[in-house]
Amino acid sequence: MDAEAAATQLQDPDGFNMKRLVTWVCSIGIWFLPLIWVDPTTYMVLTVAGVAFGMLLFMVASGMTVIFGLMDILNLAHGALFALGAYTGGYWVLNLLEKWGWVEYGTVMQSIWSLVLAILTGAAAGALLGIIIERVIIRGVYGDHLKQIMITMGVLYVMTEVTKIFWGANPEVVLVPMTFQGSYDIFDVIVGKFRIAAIVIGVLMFAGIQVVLLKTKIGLIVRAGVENREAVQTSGYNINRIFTGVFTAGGALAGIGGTMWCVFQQQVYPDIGLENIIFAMIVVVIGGLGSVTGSFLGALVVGLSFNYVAFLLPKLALGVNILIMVVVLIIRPWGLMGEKQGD
Amino acid sequence: MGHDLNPVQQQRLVEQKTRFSRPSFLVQVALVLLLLMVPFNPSFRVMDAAAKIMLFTVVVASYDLILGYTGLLSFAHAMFFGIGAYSVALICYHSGTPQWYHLFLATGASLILSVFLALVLAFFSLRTKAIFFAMLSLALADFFHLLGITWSDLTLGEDGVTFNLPGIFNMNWAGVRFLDIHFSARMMIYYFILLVSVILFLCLVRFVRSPVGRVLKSIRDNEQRSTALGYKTFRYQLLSIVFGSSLASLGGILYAMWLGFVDPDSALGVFSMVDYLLMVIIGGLGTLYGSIIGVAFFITTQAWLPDLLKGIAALLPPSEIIARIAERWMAFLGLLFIVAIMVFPKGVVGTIRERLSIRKGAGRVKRT
Amino acid sequence: MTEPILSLKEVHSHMGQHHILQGVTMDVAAGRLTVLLGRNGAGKSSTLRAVMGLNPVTAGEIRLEGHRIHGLKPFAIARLGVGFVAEDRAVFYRLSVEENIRLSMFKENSRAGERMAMIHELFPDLKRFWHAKAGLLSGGQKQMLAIARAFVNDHKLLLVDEPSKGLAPIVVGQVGESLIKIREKTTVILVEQNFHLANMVGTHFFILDDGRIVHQGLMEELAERQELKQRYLGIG
Repeated sequence: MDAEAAATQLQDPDGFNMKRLVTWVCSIGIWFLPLIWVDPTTYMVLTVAGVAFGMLLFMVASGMTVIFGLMDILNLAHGALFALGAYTGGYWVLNLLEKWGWVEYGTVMQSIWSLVLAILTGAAAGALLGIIIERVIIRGVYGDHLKQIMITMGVLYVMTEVTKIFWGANPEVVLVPMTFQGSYDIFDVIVGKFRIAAIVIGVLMFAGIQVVLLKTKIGLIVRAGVENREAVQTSGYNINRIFTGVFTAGGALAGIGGTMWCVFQQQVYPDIGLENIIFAMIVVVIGGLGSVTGSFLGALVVGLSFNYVAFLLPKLALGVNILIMVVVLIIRPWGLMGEKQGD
Repeated sequence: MGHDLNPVQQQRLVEQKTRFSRPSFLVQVALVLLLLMVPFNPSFRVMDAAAKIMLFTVVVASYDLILGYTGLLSFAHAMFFGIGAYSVALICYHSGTPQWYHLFLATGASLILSVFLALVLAFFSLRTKAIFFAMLSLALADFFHLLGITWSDLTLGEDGVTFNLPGIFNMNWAGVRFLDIHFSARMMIYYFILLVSVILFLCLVRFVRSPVGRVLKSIRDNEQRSTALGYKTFRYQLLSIVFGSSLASLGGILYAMWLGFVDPDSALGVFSMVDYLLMVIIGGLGTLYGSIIGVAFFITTQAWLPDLLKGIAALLPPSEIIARIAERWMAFLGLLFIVAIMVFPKGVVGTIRERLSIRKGAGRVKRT
Repeated sequence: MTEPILSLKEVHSHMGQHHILQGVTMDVAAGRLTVLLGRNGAGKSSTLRAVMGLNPVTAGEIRLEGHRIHGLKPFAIARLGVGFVAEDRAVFYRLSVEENIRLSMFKENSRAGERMAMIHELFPDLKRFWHAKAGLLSGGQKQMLAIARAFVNDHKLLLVDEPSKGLAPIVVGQVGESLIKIREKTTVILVEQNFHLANMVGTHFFILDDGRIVHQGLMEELAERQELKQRYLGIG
């Protein structure tokens, strides 16, 4: 082949080669491993549950990864946004609607509206708290990684305590709207209805985010900003406003994630913020900082592996996720779809 | 005179000669004497607070070693603390009538496990960027917390472990009368904690003042230069992390001994890290003595703030929310933490040292 | 001269403890290609960055067409008509060439169409790789893209920082030709270590040393002043 084509192939990382093929086959093959210990029906149930769990993780991780990629901030307080979404959307709104009988024994329309209202409330709460945290706290420690981690941890801590003030320290039951209760039986595979809803919403969210990122001007600016903040500024865009916007959007997504999560679990308790943020962190690391597609894939990885291992060796489920995170950090620190940072 | 001493050696000689007559030494002696007298105070709360201040000083000062002196932000300190606490608790619980060798066994077991985990952690701190390491340590600490809850066969789960200690530490011990004072098991444990805390704290100070400690400071201030000067920076960081984490375990052992009860949330809970961070920040990062102040502040607040808040709440019109706010006084400490980081990052001792050095420097400048 | 397009008066800039610009005073007239020359660390890039609002101005004034711009945020300065081509080329690797340029455009209107056509004409290579990811371009092409990005907006003033860095001599020549064509449409301030390129494209020059202007004049005169070149640029 001629010089230019050769040069293009050198620079083009998407070309074909053996090593990549093997990596792909292995990475797909590993997901069928549990079939050794588990019968196919159970496997399908676990897989659906894992994908649903992954979608819920994606909702939080997507915001976190963009915030991290764009603003270079590790925001542990994201967990607080998640928890607030859960308590306001999943718990408070659904309980409110239940007073009119909309939730537990409602009609299809009422069920759908219940969920929609819950999600919107969760999103609003997350967005609002997100703006407040960004303005009041994050701006003050901009640029200092160490301080950021400490301060956002402190915010998560305070928010957890505040949650206990308003809603008590004990776990509370969360209602599931009628239409989403129970499950379908497809060839002996029991598939929870709400899990389907979670998957659908997650995929829609992913699609929506991709559309915004790839097709709109603001998405273009954000994608560019993740690569090089300074160049975006000198191109004439007020990066601070963009930060606030991204933070707000991330907060809304986290709020939605929280709402969906607590309905999924049918319960809510103050520590879900901390628990979730740890999963979200693992997803973000595996997927790559700054990449939404990466966090989608990472979320699937974490969700599936957690569910498979939780079935076989319950105590080690989180440990396996940590192990994957460690492996990624060692052999491919920029994550599945992150950018190799030259530093 | 023999060969001339270089300026550093000269200064150290001067320091050594005057070390018993400096004001800070007198303060330290006074402090220890005060602590010795505490059990004679009838209030149990005071003794409880003092014991906790002492043992948590070891934990927080060792965290200062890792964060302030080595510059590593890790959330795993709570995990090491919990490992020490649970070792003692489980071994004493499972043995029926605990003997002295059980204590040694517990100490040994927890130290072995801690050193191993600390080595793993230290290895990772080198291989990954600071921010990833922080995430990793957070995940790991939470994993241990979860294990504490779910591995109920071993740890008795969420309910926690109540246990007794051997010999004169055993709650059932009759005590002894000496000089007209009744020395109970509690008091013996208290004095044991006093002795061990003072020893461990002095070890920390020694470590930091030693050549290893000085290299650590130089690494913290400018890692590239230290490497260029030929120091294998990793070895020093490793040493510091292993030492600091082991001390946290020992602190956990003392904690378990004092309370006689451990459960996953109090011993392995991740949010304890916020408490440690608060204490270390208030005292001042990179100043071991600052930990004493930070811990004292925190523990006294913990002991007396709830009552204060309830008192204030009683003055206000009765309301569920106000009652709950009074209950959740920890939130205020968390807020203080946030404010401290933003406004007051050097802490008490740090700011004092800064002011002193500015004044010293200014004193040397000729006024024209 | 008539009102200079850019005017700096006694500009000081500190980065932490370092006193980088120690009283830079210069007037740049419109329509020229002015080159800032000087040794490493003399303050050339720092001057550009101070104009762009990226480095803090601790004293002095910077005015664009008489309007004060010191102290403004970089995006505001960009909106006032200043384009910036950074030392690291600042091209977005994961965006396509087209997206890179579209990002830089403030207004997508009919004038935009004209500018696009101009870019196609000035930089034929970019037209060829229009939809390719910018990361795949060669060094010289990336530099062209960086310049095109700054140029697309009909800016009054273009600040270009060391475009020749890391490029092969023949590519530097191509960059030079593009700069000459651009010179006809807008005012350019160029920071350059490569004297050959500077000489090829520049009409005027300023020499910086230790954060101050020590010499200025017409480019064609500098070529003959061996002692200046040796003393302040280390060449000749």
